[in-house]
Amino acid sequence: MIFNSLQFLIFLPVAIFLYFSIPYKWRWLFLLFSSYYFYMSWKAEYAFLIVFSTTVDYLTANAMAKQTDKRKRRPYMLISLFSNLGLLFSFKYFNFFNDATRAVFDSFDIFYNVPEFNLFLPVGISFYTFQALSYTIDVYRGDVKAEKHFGYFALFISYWPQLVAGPIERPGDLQPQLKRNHDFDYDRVKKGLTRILYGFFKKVVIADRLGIFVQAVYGQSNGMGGWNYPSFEHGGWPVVIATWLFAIQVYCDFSGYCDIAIGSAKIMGHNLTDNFRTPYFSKSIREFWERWHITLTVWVRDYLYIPLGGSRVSFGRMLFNNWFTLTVMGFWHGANLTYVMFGFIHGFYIVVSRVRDKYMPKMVLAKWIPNMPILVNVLLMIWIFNLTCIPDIFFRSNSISDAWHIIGQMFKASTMHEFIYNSAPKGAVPSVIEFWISLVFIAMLLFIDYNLYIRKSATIEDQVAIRPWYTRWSFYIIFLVIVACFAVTTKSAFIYFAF
Amino acid sequence: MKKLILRIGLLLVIVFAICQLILMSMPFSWGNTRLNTKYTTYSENPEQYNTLLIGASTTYRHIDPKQFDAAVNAQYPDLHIKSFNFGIPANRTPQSMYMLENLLKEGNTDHIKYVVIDLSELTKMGADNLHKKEMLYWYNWGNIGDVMKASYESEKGTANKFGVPFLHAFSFGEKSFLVGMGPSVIMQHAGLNIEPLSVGPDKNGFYSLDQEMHDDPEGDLAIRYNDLRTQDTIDFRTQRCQMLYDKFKDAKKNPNKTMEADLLKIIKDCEKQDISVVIMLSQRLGDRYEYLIPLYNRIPEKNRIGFQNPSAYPMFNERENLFDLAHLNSSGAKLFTDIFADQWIDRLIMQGKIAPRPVAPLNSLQQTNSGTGDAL
Repeated sequence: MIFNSLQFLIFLPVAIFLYFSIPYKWRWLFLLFSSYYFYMSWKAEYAFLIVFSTTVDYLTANAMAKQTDKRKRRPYMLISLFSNLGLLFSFKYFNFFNDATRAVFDSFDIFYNVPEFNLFLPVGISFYTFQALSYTIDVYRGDVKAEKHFGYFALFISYWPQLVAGPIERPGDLQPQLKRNHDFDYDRVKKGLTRILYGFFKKVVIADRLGIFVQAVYGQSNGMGGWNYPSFEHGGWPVVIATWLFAIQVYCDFSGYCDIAIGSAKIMGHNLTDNFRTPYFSKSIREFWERWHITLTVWVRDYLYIPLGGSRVSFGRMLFNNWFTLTVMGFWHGANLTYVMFGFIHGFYIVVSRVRDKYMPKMVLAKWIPNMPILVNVLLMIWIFNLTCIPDIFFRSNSISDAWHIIGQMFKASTMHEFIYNSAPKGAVPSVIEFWISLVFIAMLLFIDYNLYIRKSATIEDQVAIRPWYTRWSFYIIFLVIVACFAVTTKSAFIYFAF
Repeated sequence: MKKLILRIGLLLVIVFAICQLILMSMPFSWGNTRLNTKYTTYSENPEQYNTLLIGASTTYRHIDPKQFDAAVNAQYPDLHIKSFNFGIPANRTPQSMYMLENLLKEGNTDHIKYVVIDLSELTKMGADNLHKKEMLYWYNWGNIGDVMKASYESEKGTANKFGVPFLHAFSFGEKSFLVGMGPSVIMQHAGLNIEPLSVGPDKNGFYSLDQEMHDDPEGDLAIRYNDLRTQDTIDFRTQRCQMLYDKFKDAKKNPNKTMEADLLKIIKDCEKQDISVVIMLSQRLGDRYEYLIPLYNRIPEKNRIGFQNPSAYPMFNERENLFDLAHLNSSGAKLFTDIFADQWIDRLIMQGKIAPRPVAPLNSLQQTNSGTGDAL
């Protein structure tokens, strides 16, 4: 089930009511049951993959726990590594590598007949396999103790709020919370609901609405492996604006999902890690990655970047580590060269910024615009936002050649009228109305995110909670009315569910 | 938890009240752009009309008010018939009742003397239709109970008997909270909820399908016209319709008592206001005949006109008169309007509204009509 569905609107209150109604000692079982129900409502048979991953990691971690010598723990860690990555490879990357191998063989006129896997990508596989991997690696390193209780461990892997699109939780953070008794706390529940409300605002009011305009320029997957290209080919400003809108769409979509996940968990007393901290207010690419998809960034830093040597190596090697890590992160998103390119470009940005920091440390914007720090900051934010939009073109396109084509279109003649007036499908609300509504809500988002940004990582629920009652109630009423009246009600899955 | 539930309840009440205030600012027709356009045109000078033709596309595309008025006035000039076609695609009888209720409520309704309602099944509320304002706008506190009851009565199978009423109730909830309808509200208040062409070239609500295809050659109608109007499909459709008609023509046991009661109440209420009501059953693809024909058979003969029997009206199954499988083209609509006008006059005679014909009827078919859609 997706969060923006009727099923979830029924599931959430029922699950929460039952959670607080049953005795503490059975709550884990209830949460486990509800998590599997949540996941199986997509495709029941894919729950076996989670069961497989859970069982392998439970057994290997407990086998490692019995070994004091790290070398003796290694084979178990490798079993876990291969089974989790094998699962990910089989379901997500096999066809990609199979096609690449076929192309190589074809080029040498060698017969190659390994068939494709025609399987649906299991929802959230990249998230729960990474979460499971972090557990076994931490046990291997001795950072956390192996969980003896199979039920609690299974719950850690499958906990429904973050099962399909994160945040990717670390065992040390989430496992103890799942074991603790959390009584019903009015203030905490209120904060959780506030976060959920804000998440819905981002997802169903902004992200899904912007999708209309992005789709009109970039086209859309037809859900069967094909791609529906738009009937009208836009050029110039509409392409640039659609790319900006996509950057906002993907932010609202993914962070909206995370808000709903974090809010749902908070209601039950579990604090999940914030995955986004107003990323488009970043003043450098490195800062951007400290604010965007934080749990993945930290995961890759801890389990890939640092093992590669991190920054405690030669400068050239460090640049390679940065670039390689971000390229792998791009590939994590999907088995398509477009995602590799997305990571590659971000890696390139990081390399450039590192080189500049080392060799041209005085080349900063503030030097050219002295005594105007606000203007400098705003210009830097706009600059970084636009830089992040370039890899987003690859992220959103069907193929590398499509992405280059889109970039080429940006330099062609533009007609805004077609984009603003005719982007919506026939019979839907005219796109000009949707366009202006979108701009109003983006302005609201910007205002709220700016207020969170200047309060240094504040969360919306904390900021609302400290206001006087009339401000709080105005917030609730305004946002409830907006979410109800301006929700885009055609079913639209979260973009990151595909990863 | 009690405190939380109370506060959430209070919040929902406030949001509900705000949404109701917004809804009160909207005309009854806001949920359907074609209807809204028709209502806007009609409202410019409502007093000139004394006849309302309400129904689905089988009214919209088949009855030309200009021709209808001329046909009736030629025989009964004193009636001064001036009609307006309020047919809209996929309109269902509960929507027609909602429209009539609102049209009679708006201002002075003394000028309305005659009403025709096209009979169709209760809106089939599939899950895919949830959220669509066209499916939601006509729910109100007055009709939701009957709609749920009627769908419970007419649906088959336990799942549908409970599922469909639930979907109606859920949709009513959606409408009450204006779910996803903010842009439509803005469109309405910005005066953009209008499709000028949909009132037709004579601005009387009739718009033949050929004319619409001519005006919008890139639209979906061209696909319907080219793909569906083959002789094989027409024959298949006619045979199926005939078979279903033969099966249910004498069915008296009404599967939907709520809808019957509502229709009879409308007839009675309108009679009290000296308004004549005629319920028309058009020829359909045969779908829901098991539901519609028994319902039709329970309406008094003086208040009904039936075209459901294909063999009684072969001209409506001829390729040159059809636009697609369910609709006539403009030449078919011309034929239909004349026949309908004659039959409608008969009903007025039966109702005692007018004296028997002073001149010979325009169309001989009118003499063979039995009121059940069957040729004698």
